[in-house]
Amino acid sequence: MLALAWMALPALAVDYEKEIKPLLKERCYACHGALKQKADLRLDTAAAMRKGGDGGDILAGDHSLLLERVTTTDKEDRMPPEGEGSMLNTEQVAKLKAWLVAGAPSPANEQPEADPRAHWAYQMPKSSGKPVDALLAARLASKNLKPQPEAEPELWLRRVYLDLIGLPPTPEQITAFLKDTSMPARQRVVDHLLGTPQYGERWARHFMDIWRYCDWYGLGAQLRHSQKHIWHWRDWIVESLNTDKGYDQMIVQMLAADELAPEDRDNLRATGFLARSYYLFNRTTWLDETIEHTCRAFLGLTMQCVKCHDHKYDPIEQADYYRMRAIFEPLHVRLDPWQGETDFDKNGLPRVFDLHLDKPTFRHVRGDEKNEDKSKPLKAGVPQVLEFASFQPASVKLPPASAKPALLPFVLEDHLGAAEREITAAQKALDQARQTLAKSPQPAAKPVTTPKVIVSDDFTAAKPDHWEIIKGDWKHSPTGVRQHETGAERRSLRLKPAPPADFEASLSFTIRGGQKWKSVGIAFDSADGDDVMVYMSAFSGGSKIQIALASAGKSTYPAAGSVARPISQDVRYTLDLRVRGQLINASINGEPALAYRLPQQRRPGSLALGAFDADVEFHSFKLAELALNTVLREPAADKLVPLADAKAAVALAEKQLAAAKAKPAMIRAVFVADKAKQDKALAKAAAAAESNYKLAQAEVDLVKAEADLKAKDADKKIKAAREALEKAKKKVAAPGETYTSLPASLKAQEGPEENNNATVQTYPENSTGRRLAFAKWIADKRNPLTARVLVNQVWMRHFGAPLVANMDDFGRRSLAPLHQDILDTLTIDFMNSGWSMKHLHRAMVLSELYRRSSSNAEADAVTVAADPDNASYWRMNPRRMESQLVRDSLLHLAGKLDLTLGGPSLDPASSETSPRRSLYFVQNADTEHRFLAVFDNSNVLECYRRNESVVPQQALALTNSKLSRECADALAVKLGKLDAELFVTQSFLAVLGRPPSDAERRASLEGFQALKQNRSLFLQALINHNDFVTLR
Amino acid sequence: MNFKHQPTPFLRRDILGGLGSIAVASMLKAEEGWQPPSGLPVTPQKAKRVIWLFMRGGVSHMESFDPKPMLTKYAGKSIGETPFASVQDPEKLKKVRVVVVNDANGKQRTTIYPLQVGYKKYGQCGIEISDWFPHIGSCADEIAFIRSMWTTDDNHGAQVQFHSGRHMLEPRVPTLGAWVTYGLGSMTDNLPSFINMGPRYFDIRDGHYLGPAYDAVNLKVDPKNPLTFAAPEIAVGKPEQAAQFDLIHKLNTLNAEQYPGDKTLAARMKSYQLAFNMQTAVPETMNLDSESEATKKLYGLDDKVTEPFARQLIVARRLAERGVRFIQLQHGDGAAGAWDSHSGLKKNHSMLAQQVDKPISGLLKDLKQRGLLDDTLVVFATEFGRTPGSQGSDGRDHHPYGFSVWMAGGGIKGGTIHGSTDELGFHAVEHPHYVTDVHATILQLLGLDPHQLEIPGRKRLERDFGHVIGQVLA
Repeated sequence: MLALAWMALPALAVDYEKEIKPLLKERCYACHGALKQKADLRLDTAAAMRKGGDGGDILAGDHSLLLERVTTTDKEDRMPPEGEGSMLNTEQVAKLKAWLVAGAPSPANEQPEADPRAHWAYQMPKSSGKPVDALLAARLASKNLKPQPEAEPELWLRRVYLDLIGLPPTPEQITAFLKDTSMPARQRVVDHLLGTPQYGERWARHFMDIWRYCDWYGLGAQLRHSQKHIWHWRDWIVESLNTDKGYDQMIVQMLAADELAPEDRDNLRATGFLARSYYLFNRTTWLDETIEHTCRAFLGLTMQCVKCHDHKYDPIEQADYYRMRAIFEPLHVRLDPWQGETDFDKNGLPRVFDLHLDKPTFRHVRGDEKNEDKSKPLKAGVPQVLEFASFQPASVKLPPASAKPALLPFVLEDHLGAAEREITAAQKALDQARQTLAKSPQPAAKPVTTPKVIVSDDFTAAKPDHWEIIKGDWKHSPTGVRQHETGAERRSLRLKPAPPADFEASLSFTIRGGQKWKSVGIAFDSADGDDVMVYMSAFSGGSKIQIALASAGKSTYPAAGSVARPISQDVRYTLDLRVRGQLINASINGEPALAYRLPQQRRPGSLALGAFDADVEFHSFKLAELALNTVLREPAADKLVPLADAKAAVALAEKQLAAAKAKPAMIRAVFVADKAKQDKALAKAAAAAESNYKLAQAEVDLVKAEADLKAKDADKKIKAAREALEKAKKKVAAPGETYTSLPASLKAQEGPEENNNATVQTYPENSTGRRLAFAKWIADKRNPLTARVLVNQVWMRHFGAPLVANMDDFGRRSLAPLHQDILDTLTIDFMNSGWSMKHLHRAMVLSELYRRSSSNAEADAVTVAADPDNASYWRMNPRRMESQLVRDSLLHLAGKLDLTLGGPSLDPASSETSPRRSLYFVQNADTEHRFLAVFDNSNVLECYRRNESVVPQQALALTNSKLSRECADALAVKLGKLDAELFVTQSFLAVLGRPPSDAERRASLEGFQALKQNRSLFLQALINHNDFVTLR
Repeated sequence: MNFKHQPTPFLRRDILGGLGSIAVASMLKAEEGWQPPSGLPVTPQKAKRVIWLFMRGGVSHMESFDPKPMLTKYAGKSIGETPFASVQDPEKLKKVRVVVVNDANGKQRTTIYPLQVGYKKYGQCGIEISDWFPHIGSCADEIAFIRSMWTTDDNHGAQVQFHSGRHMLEPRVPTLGAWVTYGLGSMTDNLPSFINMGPRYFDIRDGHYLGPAYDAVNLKVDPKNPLTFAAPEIAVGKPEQAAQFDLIHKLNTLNAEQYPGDKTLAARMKSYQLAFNMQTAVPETMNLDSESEATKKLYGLDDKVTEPFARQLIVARRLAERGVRFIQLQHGDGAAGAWDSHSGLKKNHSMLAQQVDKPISGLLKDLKQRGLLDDTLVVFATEFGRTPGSQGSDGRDHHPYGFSVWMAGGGIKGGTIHGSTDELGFHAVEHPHYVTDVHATILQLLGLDPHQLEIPGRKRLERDFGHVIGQVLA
């Protein structure tokens, strides 16, 4: 029957193989196929459907069970179930119906889906024992395809230079190579390039893509992603590649260097791989990214979908995801000290460690982090399909300095060094303060002659013949006269007798209150709305002495007539004023405070004592002629620090020096106590030393608070500082046994709610060993994926097209690659070489394929027609430079590139002016590089393969950017004044790595003339040649 | 070819969007049976382009397009004291996923804060709109208001969510504009097909796994410096540059003889043509000298307050006329966005509304009088609404449970009020719509199938594709 139906199939509208089976495969097989057989039902053959599952034959009947379940609106019954995919559309249902009506014909020998565990990528690779070229040649021959001939040797040279070191060869290097292009000569070139440090930089950039290198970023100063100083990991990648460290070792170090060799600080840098995924706000997001990208990068395994449900394609269960999460559950990040630096903002080693060793891992129901299945915690493990040996993590006992970074050998020395530098700086500051004090203006000498006194009043009683009340409420008492009214206007007592032109006045007063300004002073030369007023203000936003100049009722406050002074309420002050001609000197309590020269000639006027928004009590006032021999200071002297300030500065510097000097003793005592562990006497000594230091510091703080009167809540701060000082004194008297270890580690915040100051000094003394076991499982020769994935990544970067199309998914969605023999042969060879990347590069770039031309020109027509996409590698694939290569190559051919290796990430804004290589600029999701961005810069969130887009912004960047023009200028200078012909040839060699063809030479000479022989513009045009950005 | 000023052939999607497709296609060609989108609509196309107006920070829905008199009635009362206490049912609040844990903002605010502005009815449809948006009110009969939006992020990451459909805690995915340009490609050979104007913060990219070719090109409304590298940074004469482009073209043409069939080379040659054209076309688009006084007035270009946004919107219309597919405008500075009125809502919103109200109505009227509104979709959106309760004495907090957006133009049934929130404006209750419903609606109007957009291994969204909001369609 079936056979007959099959025979009749061509006449039908619906083709089972082409229309029904793919539909069922996409929508149903995940649960009813080889992977799973829910309800004991499979849909991968018509026979299986007829056999049916729990409900029997699903094809039988007019309204078969199959049709029923895909069309019902009953949520319980519908297929695919809710959340597992949308319902079939009407067209699909119609096709299904037509097929069923036709009797559900299918081929007689229909095979069920293969066992998922038999998927090619889950089997161990086997070497063919033959060279890559032989395998390719056999494949081409079997398909009747003819390979292209070798490319010109100079094109090969440019390929290897750009591929291995990311910089094009210079004309000199090309000329030298062309003298001997034999295989041994080519080997020497490759060996040379692999031996240069630029090789490590070039390939580090590739791995920074795959491993998601990312400098820290967040919101303003708040770190939300990655870690500070993550560039140490970048430098580790560069160095590891340059020393040709085995890829297996690199993997283990990146995932578990802290467990593998906790004291190997060089390799702790590798764990930046995990520190990079740190995310402040959500632990699950952090671990999800860690799991997803560890698996995609190293294993070509897609785990992200398993977070919510069992895998739809691969034999991986949801529980596998959470077993893997359990591996990372204890993981946390911290900064350890970097030798020579104690300030974590400046440098530090970002690294991972196991923090919460016993934290359980629960499955998130449907991937919902709020819905944990607490019934059973999951043990750390790896997907069973790939578990070639049982997963047995062993707890790792950590050395003391891992648990307590303060014990690292250089920490004591670094802290003592920093403390010594503080002492030196404090001593220097004190010396300077003392010098300043020596230069400060001293109180004026007492006058020799007694000048005539105009008025002297203690205000105990009203003296109407002396004073006229202009405004305000003035009341006399035994301590003086008090004016109560506040508010923004001046209230004065005007002196009836006319003051002498040059005078000396002394006013003693206490400010008792005021709404805001609390200003009290002496006004003189008052007439017709003009006057000069010297006043002191206890304004809490900045107390000061100030000269105000009023003209026609409008006041100005010259900056030169203003000096900040501590002036408080309820403190008695004496303001002394000396005026001679336009020169005014003011002192407070006998100390010179201000010298000012009036900008205009004075006009005679009256004198008054004024209060502006001040409740004030005047205790005494004296006005006299100015003695002839009284020396007044010129304003220039005011540039010197006022005496009081200079004294305060000395006092502060002395306290700071004392504190700095107390620090080394504390550092030593604390270190010794930390090292001894549990020694009471040493702990006491440490606590005592710490209390001494803290006391000294408290004194510094108080002096500082007292000096900073402009600070917000200055009063409160002073009070707090006093209390802190008292506390510190008590602590010195009874220091106890607790002390703070040296700040030798900075734990990353465990969520935003944790205090910012996460300085922790002690960590667990064990690590779970889970990551080490996991890393060793990945980097095991028996793991069928790891080396294959790496070989594919390197292959794609040398040949422009990968062997396995999806760089990051080798699961069942990836069909066995056409060239699996090549992949597997290289993989075995790679592992046998000790996972040597340099070995792998040699195998690839010295191959016949790598020498092949990338052109279709004169290609065999049959070959072009049969394999237009070059799936069989009958020619080389041209590739476009990555963004970093475009920039680095431009700088290199201009002779500008700075080849300095490593170091902190550079300000991205400088990437268009700095000559450093492109991998050294800050890269994160917040940073945009104008130039790099247009050439498909790496995406820090995920980048298993760069895009090679062609957009007009690239043309604009190469024609209009300062960078391209300046490089063209520099190259023009470098090439010198050659004649036009030679200039064109050399330009081609320098920019494109090859000489021009005759036609190109003619076009170039014409173009050069059209450009009026502007060498720079000609070179810039060549920079825009497609072959510049292309690896031909 | 001669790079002077001769007209260039009309290229539908060979450049930009199309080239991006080449990149993606070549990357993934091994995947069986997959084809990049043809660039043609797959369903009837009602709109050809989108002007996307995004108000950053969160516009109060109650004080814009969804007035709630009950807020005034129960002002100062706690929500629990009103007949609507059930809005605080914890079950109903569950959908929110918190990003910034323990943030000072994004909290439940339970003391009802009265409406800070009056409102009245506009147009034949009689929709009630707040007095801060009288000009938009005057266009009410062109607009379909959706008063029942909801989202799941209670912080400004919701901006990313509104553009992409995915929460901040999930991986970044392409934004709507990226999908539209990917699906439909370009209508111009002089300008990029996807443009952004105005500040962005939480995600500065659009293309993501589609690739940077689908990132919006950032334009500034400054004819002198509208686009990165649009003009030589080191001066060069026009004839010299034309000679350079000429030489580049000649050399690449010769190169094409050496490398026949090299698609990338062909694409690069076209990209130089477009680049050359863009150098003229972009500054020309930004230059508003040729606009009539009446037009300038219509947008409010003559008023200091409305001038900046008016300028952007006139440029948006000019870009639309010149074939740009997706014009994305962001209004409101700062990381969070200017509309984020945690305090001083009245002052802040009235000022911002004044900045955008007249320019937006000007845009709608101008598009209409030029016949462009028939096939241009104008979208007014924001990341979330604001709380019915007060924050501090005079602000409103973030509110993801209910808010309003609107659409006008190609394929939209004007004068429509769709969906509603409850009496307090708390929850979207009638026809609630997640943000991707807006995306699905826009895609359908553009002739794209929201379910069919994909590249191998990646569907547009693995879930929540969104449902077309049929009730707002003409």
